[in-house]
Amino acid sequence: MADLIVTGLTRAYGPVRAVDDVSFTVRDGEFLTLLGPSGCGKSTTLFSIAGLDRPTAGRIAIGDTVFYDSAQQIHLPPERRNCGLVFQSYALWPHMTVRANVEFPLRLRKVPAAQAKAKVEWALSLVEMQDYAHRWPHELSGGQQQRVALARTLVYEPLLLLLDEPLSNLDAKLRLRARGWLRDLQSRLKLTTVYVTHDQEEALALSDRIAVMNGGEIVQLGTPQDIYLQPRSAFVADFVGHSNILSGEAVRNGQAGILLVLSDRQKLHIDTEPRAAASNRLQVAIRPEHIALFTAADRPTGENLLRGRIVQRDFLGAHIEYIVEVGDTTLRVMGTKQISGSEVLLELPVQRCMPFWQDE
Amino acid sequence: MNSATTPERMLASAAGSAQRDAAATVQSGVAVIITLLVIAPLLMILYQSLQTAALYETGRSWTLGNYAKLFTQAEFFGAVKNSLALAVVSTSVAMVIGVLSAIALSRIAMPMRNWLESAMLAPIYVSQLVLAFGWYVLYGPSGYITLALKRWLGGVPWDLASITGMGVLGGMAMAPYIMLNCMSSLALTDASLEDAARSTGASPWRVLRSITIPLLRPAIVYLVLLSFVGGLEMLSIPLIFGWPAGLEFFTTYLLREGLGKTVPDYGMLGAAAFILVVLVASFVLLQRKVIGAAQRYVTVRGKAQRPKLLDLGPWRWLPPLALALYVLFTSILPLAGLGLRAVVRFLTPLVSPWDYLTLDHFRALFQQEIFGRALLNSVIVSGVGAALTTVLVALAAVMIHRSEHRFGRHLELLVLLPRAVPGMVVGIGFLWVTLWTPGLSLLHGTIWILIIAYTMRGLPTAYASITPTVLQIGRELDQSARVSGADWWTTCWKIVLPIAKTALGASYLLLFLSFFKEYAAAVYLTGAGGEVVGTQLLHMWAKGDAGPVAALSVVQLAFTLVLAWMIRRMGKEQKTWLT
Ligand SMILES: Nc1ncnc2c1ncn2[C@@H]1O[C@H](COP(=O)(O)OP(=O)(O)OP(=O)(O)O)[C@@H](O)[C@H]1O
Ligand SMILES: [Mg+2]
Repeated sequence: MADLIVTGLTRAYGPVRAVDDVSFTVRDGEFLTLLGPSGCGKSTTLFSIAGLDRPTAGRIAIGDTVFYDSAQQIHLPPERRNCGLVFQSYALWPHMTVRANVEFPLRLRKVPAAQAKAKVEWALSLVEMQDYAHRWPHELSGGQQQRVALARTLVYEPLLLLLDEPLSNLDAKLRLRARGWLRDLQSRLKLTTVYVTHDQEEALALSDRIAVMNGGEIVQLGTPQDIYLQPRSAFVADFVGHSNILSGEAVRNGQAGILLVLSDRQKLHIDTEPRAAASNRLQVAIRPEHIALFTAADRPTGENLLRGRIVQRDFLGAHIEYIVEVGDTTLRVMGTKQISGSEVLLELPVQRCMPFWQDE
Repeated sequence: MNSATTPERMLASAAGSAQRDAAATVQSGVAVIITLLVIAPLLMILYQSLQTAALYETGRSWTLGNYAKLFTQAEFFGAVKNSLALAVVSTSVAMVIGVLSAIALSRIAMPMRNWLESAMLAPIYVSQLVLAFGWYVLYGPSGYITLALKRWLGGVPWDLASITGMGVLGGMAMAPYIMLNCMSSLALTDASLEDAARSTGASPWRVLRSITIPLLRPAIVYLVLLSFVGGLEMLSIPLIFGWPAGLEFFTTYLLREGLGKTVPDYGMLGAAAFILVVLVASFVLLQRKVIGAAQRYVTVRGKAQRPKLLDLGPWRWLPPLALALYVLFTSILPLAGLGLRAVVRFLTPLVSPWDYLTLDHFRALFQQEIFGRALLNSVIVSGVGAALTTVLVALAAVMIHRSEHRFGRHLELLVLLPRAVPGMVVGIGFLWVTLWTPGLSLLHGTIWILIIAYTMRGLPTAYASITPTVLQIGRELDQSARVSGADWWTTCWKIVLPIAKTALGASYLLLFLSFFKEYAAAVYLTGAGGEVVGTQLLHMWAKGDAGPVAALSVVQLAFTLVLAWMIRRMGKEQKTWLT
């Protein structure tokens, strides 16, 4: 096996670029996730790799096999790429039993009957579905269908495993379990995997690396820790970890970094270098769990204190989510203690504030 | 390689495998067969209409004279005028009956609704020719009821040998199709729109006028055009009622010009046939424009929410009574009369039929060798033709909706085009194809040319019945097959078509039925040994053997009713299977 290399992948629908000059490499046995909001081009990228969609430009290759190359005018049809694709809807063929579904790819490859039987057993036991081999797809629950779909792609040991939001049709609890054994299976079989999701938690839990996409482009590619702890843009900070975004004007603060002046003239200390560029618009991202709430009676002494007003409180069991208005922005804050009254002070620790310069 | 290389060539150069070639071969094969089937007869008609002599003669040259001759012929204009008048009258009658009965059956509470609905729709499954015979036996100039009324009242209020009379009959023949389409449309409209109007204080009649009928308007426009085309290409009623009275229509004109003369003027026949195609095609085009691409397939999708049925209170027996009487007088009595006519020597109110009971007509039928042959031929033509058409159209549908083939869109137009070609014109076209193409004259007069012509006729029907199911099959089902290693052809064969098999079965039966009833396309194509039931009926009718005609009609009716029953059962099965 070898690395999957995608270079300059572009897919245009008329003037719209669903995927715009995307490049990445998935190393042999690596689990890479394409993460992004709806319509950002994740499925298009995945389908281009599978051969179901025909890109406008770029190159896709795995080892010596070129799947697609616009310069050389190569476009391998999907059946000759030896990929395995699991759909969000599972796409089990309704006129075949579970066994026939799993067996079908082997029949296409003219695997001898005895060997095929053993492989089907193996694939079904991987997903713990041996006992359901004789069932019809409509006789299975969503989670079971999902596992059969996975067995159907694993059975022929594809070069690449491609998954398009495979867990999104499952309920929350099942999704958690499925996530566990998917990760387990992938690391056991050492399958090179490209996984598509818009669920950040799933991406963080499963991936070796994550490619965050927005508007058809990859905006950041890195390990889950990188993505979470060092987002490179306000978008990534917001999309991964639901950060709050405050924006305002940056002014120099003597020798010690800068001050962010919000629209209601409140100020925040930010630990970053001022820059020479024309614009001094600055965005600051901070995660809800990193903000602390105090009442005036608490007499907090922190450095970055903002006045705000609670407009909504939602009891979520383990914690309470407060929606707080500061000037004309609303912030989400995770609190553990009950706060009565609406006037509050918010502490935004300097080391938790992630600054991003804005261009005009 | 330059950037102008087509995707297909690119694929071929990248793949170049035998499997890929197989898919390409099948796709090209389907495209070529359909193109030839649809285009060849039409081109041949156009070609003949521009030639000075028949196609099998030598020393022909190009001319516009045939059209000139046609346009100076008073008979031709008379026939066109009569056909247009017939189309107008039959469209109006069909629309009134069809729309009113559809609204009544879908929106008014009445006892025995399902029964009445089935009875109203039943004529769809009966050959128009047989239905017309039935009407002739009862209401024709010497029909049983006509004579009875003459005797008791001194006259009848109708004259079925007039254009108005024939128009009414034609309208009644087409009304079930209108009703079926309107009911689908009504079933698809959101019932809550009507309930909302009721809750804002509108009376039921107000809702009907302001909501229900306006919502039906697109369907009505489409159906007006559909039945107008039906009226233009109608053959049975003009032949049975108009011909004896000396009234000529476009279709009977074509029949007489081509078959009634010892030396037919093929050039002029071609010109007339081509004009009919253009006339009908322009209406079909208009219809497509009006309705847009999206609503081409009228499919019945069960809405979970049924509209509340209107209770007419003390008048609730009125609509079912009217419908029952209508069914009684337009279907049950005529078909019963036809059945009776088959087993009596005479059928007149002057004598009791019981005194003249006989099985002679059937005996005469069964003794003729030609009867067995016609029946067998009909079964073969329908059986083989329906199979060929179903397979061809299934492949075409998958190609149109499930491949990147560059002819996909054009292929759809071609498949639907035969809708604009009247049956008799199809017959004329294929006759000339066999006469003109070297080697094809072997087919002349055999059942094989009938199979080919029927296949062409059946393309739109099959496409309309298969396509909705193909569209319902989720794309991921074939995409996942492709990714797991199946080429296009294997995906078709192992995934898409097996899933659609119930729809294919239904399409097969539907085609079998319509081929079994077909006669218009066959009149020009049958020769000795290649007779089918439809042409045999016409032939016997022309000889004036009312008894054997009735007997043969009964045989055909029995066949079609069994088929119809099977189709309805399959329709139910399919619905449960897909949900
Ligand atoms: N046939 C098409 N014509 C035009 N635009 C299209 C077409 N198919 C997809 N797009 C556009 O391409 C963009 C990317 O689509 P894609 O399916 O890859 O999104 P996605 O990231 O998978 O989103 P989701 O999470 O909702 O599945 C979308 O903005 C979509 O509107
Ligand atoms: Mg998607």
